[in-house]
Formats: sequence, C-alpha cells, structure tokens
Amino acid sequence: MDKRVIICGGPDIEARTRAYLQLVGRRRVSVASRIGEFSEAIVDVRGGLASKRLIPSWQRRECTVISNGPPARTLAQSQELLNRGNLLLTLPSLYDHRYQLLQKQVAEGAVGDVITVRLIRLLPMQSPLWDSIVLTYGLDPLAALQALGGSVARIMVREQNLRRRRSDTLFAVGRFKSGAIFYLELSAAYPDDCHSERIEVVGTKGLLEYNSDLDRALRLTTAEGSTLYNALYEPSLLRMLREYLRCVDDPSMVDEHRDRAQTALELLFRAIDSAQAHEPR
Amino acid sequence: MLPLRMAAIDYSSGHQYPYTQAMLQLPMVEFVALADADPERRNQAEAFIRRFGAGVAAYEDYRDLLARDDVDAVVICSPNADHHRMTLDAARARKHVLCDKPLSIATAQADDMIRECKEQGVLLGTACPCRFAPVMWEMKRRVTAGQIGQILSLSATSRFRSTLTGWFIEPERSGGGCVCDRIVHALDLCRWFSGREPVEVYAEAATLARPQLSVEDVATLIITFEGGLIGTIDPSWNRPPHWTRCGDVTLRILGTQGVIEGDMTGQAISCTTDTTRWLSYSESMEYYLLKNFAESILAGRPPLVTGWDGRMGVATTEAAYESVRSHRPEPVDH
Repeated sequence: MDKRVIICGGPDIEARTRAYLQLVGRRRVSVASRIGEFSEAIVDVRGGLASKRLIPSWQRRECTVISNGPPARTLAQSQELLNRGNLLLTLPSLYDHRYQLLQKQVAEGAVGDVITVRLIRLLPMQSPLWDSIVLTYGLDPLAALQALGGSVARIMVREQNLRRRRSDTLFAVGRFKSGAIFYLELSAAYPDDCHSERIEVVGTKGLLEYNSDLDRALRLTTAEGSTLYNALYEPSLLRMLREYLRCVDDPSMVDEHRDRAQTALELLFRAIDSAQAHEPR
Repeated sequence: MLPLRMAAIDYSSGHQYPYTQAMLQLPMVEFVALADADPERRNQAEAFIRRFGAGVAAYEDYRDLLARDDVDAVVICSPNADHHRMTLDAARARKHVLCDKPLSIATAQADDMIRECKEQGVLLGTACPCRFAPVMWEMKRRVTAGQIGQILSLSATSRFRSTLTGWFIEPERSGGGCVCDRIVHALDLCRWFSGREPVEVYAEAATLARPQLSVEDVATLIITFEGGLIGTIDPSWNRPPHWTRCGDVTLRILGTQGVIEGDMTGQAISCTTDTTRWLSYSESMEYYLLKNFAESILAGRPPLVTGWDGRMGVATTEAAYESVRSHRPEPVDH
C-alpha cells in the first residue's frame, strides 16, 4: 500500500494528521486546503455533508474514502456509496480500548444479561458542528451503543439547539431487541473545559461503569466486589486508522466494516426521523 | 410558643424512621403518638423511640390516633395505595398532613387529597425530601445566584438497589414499580430548579433486573417542561444489591454559562464554569423537611414541598405509564 493520504474537509484535523504521520510517514500525508478532485489516494474527509459531495467522484477515481459521519443526506444514498466498496466510516469507539473492554466483559457474562445501557458524551462548545449534532457526532455513539447492547428495536430522540445555531444536544431513549433499555445523551454545548464520557452497562449480575471525569479506569462491580481495569490505552483514532489502512491493502476486509457502518447508519437515520417526527422509530 | 404536637402513622416505609427521629429532635415539635396495624412494626418503632429516651402512645388503628385532640399534625408513611384514605381521614380529623412520596397512586386521588385538606383548613405537605439535601440547597443557591446562567437542560437519576421487597413490589399496594417509586424525587428537583411544570413525557420501562417481579424495575424518561425545556430521568431499581449507597440521586444542569452537577447520596457538587469545585455534606434531609413542615404549620404558610408538588409527581408518573403502554409521548395532566 503506497497510496498517499489526503486529509480534507475543514479544521480540527490535528489528531488525525498526527495519526497518519505516525502510520504512513510524512512524505505520504498532505492536507488539502479545499475539497477537490483527487485520484488514487486515501481521502480522509471530515466536515459536513457539503464536504462529502465529491465522494462518488473520488470513488470512481480509485480513491479509498474515509468519511467522518454519514457520507450522504439519506440512508439510501449512504448505503449506495457504501456498497461501492471503497468507503469506510469513522467509528473510533469500536476501536476504543474502553469499549472493547466493556464489550469483552459483557460477552463473557461478567454482568449477566444486560438490562440498561447509558452513554453520555458531553463536548465543549468549541467542538466543530458541521451539521446537526446527530449528523456531526451521532454515528459513533450510536454504533457504540449497539456494540454494547445489540440491535435497537425502538429509539425516541429529542434534539435541541441549546447554545448554538444548529441543534447541539440530543437526548435518546429506547429499547434494544433484547428488551434492555438505553439512554444516550450527546451534547456539544458544554463549557470550554468539559469533555466528558460516561458509560454504564448494568446487568442482572453487576455493573460496568466508566466516567472520564472521575478516573480513567473501567470499574466492574459484581457480588464478588469491585475490579478496576486500566482503560487508558492507545488512542482509538490511531487504532481505527491503522485498521482502515489495512483495508486498503486487503479490500475483502472492508466487508466487515461495511456491515457495522450499515447498522450504525440505519440507526442514525432512524434517530433523525424520530427527532423530526417526535415519535419513536 | 406551644410546641407542635405530631404523630407518626404507619412504619411500612422506612422513611418514617428519619421523620420520627426529626420529630423527636426538633425543639418546636412534641412527638406524642404513633400508629401501625402490624404489631411487629409497632414494637420496632417503639424500640427505636426508646433509644432517644422517649416513650409515646402506640395505636394499632390509626383512626384512634386521629381521634386524639392533642395531635396537630401527622406524618403518613404507609404503602402508597393507603395514602389517599389515610390523608382524607387525617384531614377530616383536622390534622395537618405530611404524606410520604408518591403522594398517591392516581392524580385524581391527589386532587382529592389537596381539596379535602384545603376544605378542612389543614396543610398538606409531600414528604419528598431531596430539596432539603444540603447538596441540593447548595446547588440551588448557586443556580439562583446565576452561576450557570439560564437553565438549558436537566439530566437526573434517581435509582435504587434491586432489592426492594414487600409492598413496594405489589402493584395493588404500591401503584407500580420504579417509575412510581423513584421519578418523584428527580422530578421534584427538576421542577424546583427550573420553576417549570412538566407537559409531556416519553418513557420506556421494563422488568429486567428481577424478571419475576410484577412491576417494572428499569426505566428511562424524557420529559418536556413548559417552554420546551428537556429533562431526563433514570428511575431504575438497578443498582447491585451490594451497592455501597442506599440509592442514587444525581442532577446535572446545563446553563447558558456553565454546568453544575450534584450527587446527593455521594454528597458532592461539581460546578464547572472557569473552575471546578467539590463540596461535601453530611446532614439529614429528612430532618430539614420535617423542620420546614413544622415551621410552616406554626407560621401558617405552605411548606416548601406542597400537596401540589406531590400531585405533579403523580400526574407525571401516570403520563409515564401511559407512554410505556402507547410508545408515544404523552401529555401530563395539570
């Protein structure tokens, strides 16, 4: 794999630029000042839907596209682009050590059958908001929610613009197909130094919790007592991009990512629909 | 000033013990009697009172207690389904009533209770003590002082261990499970802080922590308050049995200029604007609730948590149950 990496789509790209420099070296990484016609490259596009208008063109020109958020305005359009095969969606939580620890503990039955999942992600006001909160930041937590609790049977969403011109806060309540209840709160309206992630998975036998405000450990509480796991690890973005770069060499690996992206996209557009209809979906 | 003569009716709920203790300790209150139909609970209550060097008359039938002329006010901590009947009886006996939360198991009953107390010229208070937790006072002081600006959203939890037994899990006596039992605390705080009434509820609820129960034990609600303000409440009975705290009442309020977060049972406040501060407290909210109720009777003014406050908890609970059935947002009866 020796395609060059082009990062484009707006500000706030420092983290991914650092990750790419670490993964492929300085000579192959460039930052595009504006969206353009790229060929035979890995295009990492960040920003709103306007930044993604050329995704079909890039795909035709033998690019591998890594899209932050949904690639198109509708589920059908997004699915069509995904099915072309050289499109990956950024879902860093799925590569996050904390979530992987949580998933492992849940899969091994550490807390018994999952009964409730709470995921709260509070971002500062300066966080970029390309579109609505759900379009800008919704895909990853919705994917994480499903990674912890399985498929979603029903979701009810309320979106609000509390402090910004666009909707900056989302409250969601729903049920997994397993019957378990979930709560998701996502906001980009918090004070400047607030950057908080809280995850709680409660099962019939115990409780898993992570609160970035308190410490960096994942706490498992069962009848045997409490156990702390180190949850601070290699940055999830780096882990995800390393995996995605392997997909460029081995396109067959894209299928697995496509399935997860499809599932997350479906829930994202149901969430949007619910917020607009003021009814669960 | 003569002391206020108070009595306790029913010890089915453990809440009666801290209220009894407050009645024994408050200088303006004389604790004169108790009633409980169950001899074992009655004996336990008497033993508890003896620890304070006191002794009071104990009745099997609460109506005998109500017949006494030297009782000015009663605290009722019976199973929820009995709140309505006992409050009406007490009001008709011209006793002021402090009734445990939830005020009743139906909004129509709560309306009855408010009306009867008004007609009889007695005060009705709801024993919903979270406003009296020092953590919440301090939060309220900071919010009122404008530290976080205008309130934009409220996120609350009011959870409990998955260990409740007895009448709490018998729907005909409790009126429901965790939704009925727990949202009243968080809702009361949300209403108190925001000064707004709930207008609509969307709720999910299920029986999952202990599937053998005949009431729900996990739930989550999205509540729309007047003016479109949104609050969320998790009232689940899903804390592990060996959870180190009795319960869990937390409230996070986002404002136009900051965010403030209080953990009532953890007794900590985090207020983030330019800096973060942590404060700790260790005082009894039940003591202050009882004190406020007694002072209100003596001063002839409404208590801080009125019958209407309790009634709105019941009305919101009813809307939540309706939403669980319909899978739609449901209006709250005002």
